[in-house]
Amino acid sequence: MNSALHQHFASGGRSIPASTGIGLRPPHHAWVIERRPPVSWFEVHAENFMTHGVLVDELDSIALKYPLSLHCVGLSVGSVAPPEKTHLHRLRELVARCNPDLISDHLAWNAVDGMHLPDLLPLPYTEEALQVVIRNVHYAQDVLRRQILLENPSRYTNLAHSTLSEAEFLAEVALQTGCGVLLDVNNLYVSARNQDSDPNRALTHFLGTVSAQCIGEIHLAGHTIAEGDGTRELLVDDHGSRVCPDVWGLYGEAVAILGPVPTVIEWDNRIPIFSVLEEEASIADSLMTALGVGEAARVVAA
Amino acid sequence: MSSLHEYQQNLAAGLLGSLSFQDAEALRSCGMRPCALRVHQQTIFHTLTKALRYSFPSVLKVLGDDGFAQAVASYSKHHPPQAAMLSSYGTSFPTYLRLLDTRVSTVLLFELAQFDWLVDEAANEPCGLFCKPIALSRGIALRLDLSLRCRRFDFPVDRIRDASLSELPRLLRGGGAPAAHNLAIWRKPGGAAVKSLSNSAAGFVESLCAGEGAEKAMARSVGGLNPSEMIKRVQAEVFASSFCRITATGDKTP
Repeated sequence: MNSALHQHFASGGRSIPASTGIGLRPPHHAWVIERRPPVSWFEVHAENFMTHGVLVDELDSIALKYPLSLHCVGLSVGSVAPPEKTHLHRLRELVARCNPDLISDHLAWNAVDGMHLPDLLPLPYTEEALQVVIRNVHYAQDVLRRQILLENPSRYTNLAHSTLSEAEFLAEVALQTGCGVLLDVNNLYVSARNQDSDPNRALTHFLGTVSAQCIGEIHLAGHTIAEGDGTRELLVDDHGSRVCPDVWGLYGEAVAILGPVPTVIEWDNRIPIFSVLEEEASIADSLMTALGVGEAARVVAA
Repeated sequence: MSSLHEYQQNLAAGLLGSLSFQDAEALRSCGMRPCALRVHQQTIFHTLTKALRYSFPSVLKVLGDDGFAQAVASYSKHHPPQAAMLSSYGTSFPTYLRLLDTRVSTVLLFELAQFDWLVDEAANEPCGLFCKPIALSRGIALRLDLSLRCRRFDFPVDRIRDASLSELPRLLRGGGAPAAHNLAIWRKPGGAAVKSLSNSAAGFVESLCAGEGAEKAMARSVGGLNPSEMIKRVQAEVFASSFCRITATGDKTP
């Protein structure tokens, strides 16, 4: 990473340990506030907290006890138009309020001509799209005065006009803007399978293309297998189940190469009881420990 | 227009089901597989339905899961979100519901949706912020919670929102329903509060919320009551509520 930019956008938050945190969703807020489970850190969806509602009060309590990461879905860095000014300013207010250690969004788009479609829509990896993303990431980081991480999204199709691989695209954006990269291992697996590629080769290509120094976080989640076109199956990144064995395998390979990286277990649909998330987190921690790379000791909330 | 812009316009139109044949061809030539389009459509619809279910729980209760999903599908196609923040999505949903052909009175649905929306809006306001003091009399002023809204409803929307599914049919038939009533809605710790107000108290609050002074608000709230009865009601229903603070101003001018 460009060290000047890194310094310029340095985080003001507490340091997130290189162990496994949990993607915290509103149904578990009360449990976490009341029980203070021994979780290293939490990641929350920023857009849930951009009002003045009860959830924000809950986040204040949680931020007092745990290091936090803000994960966004609304910056739309792949849109031809720059990120929505109001949205960025709300995010900046939230950043000032909860002082997260990491801020991230996706290499995707969801806004066009003033319309916002709540999904992570695929970008063609072209030179034109690259310039758009670089401009938008610069803009977002300038407004936030913070570095953001960009996540590789799940893809269900291989857009014909792409001239770069996803890894090449992300590496170039990181180089030009000083942003970091969030490696979602489940997304990488889902995209590779949906594009008839070998997930192991996709990971090797990713890690050989994106500098290890740029990768500031890893995501893990479950997916489902649905009916695709004709006889083909389609993997859908629905965050509604445990991490599958193949993805655990890829994660092990990734941390063996990258060393310790803060990791998050995400679960957004059919959300289970909290202990299931803790079990998943402990698997990730034990993989890091087994490989001798993690600070797997859990931080018990004070 | 750039090719990226054109692709994004086409994909958005394809996702909302409003794509011309030529544009659909262009999308396919980009490599967009039908199953991929379907996954994105499902995700968008699922997310919007979830957001509107959260904001309109009474409408959901009355229409049921399927009826609500149909209403959202139709609404979201014609009114896609204009901002990334979905908590602000649904402003025009109450009005849109009036156009629907449902077995429930559309006037009732409209009122229910309006009530749900006001509660949701109030719940997302900052807690405990009050307006500038409004002079009541010598040395005394009142301050209203900035999140306060007051509306008149013809249907028992608050009771329908709180009703169990077994109580619902009776309320929808109008059983046990009070006649038109006024509801004050404001932010309290933990969510939104709702309180029924008499016409006098509601007139007083509405007048103040509209920026009128206390004297004018009092005059408006008299209605058919004698002044002392009106003052009693305003004191009991407004001054004693947590959305109102009575403060001493130190101003002794008569």
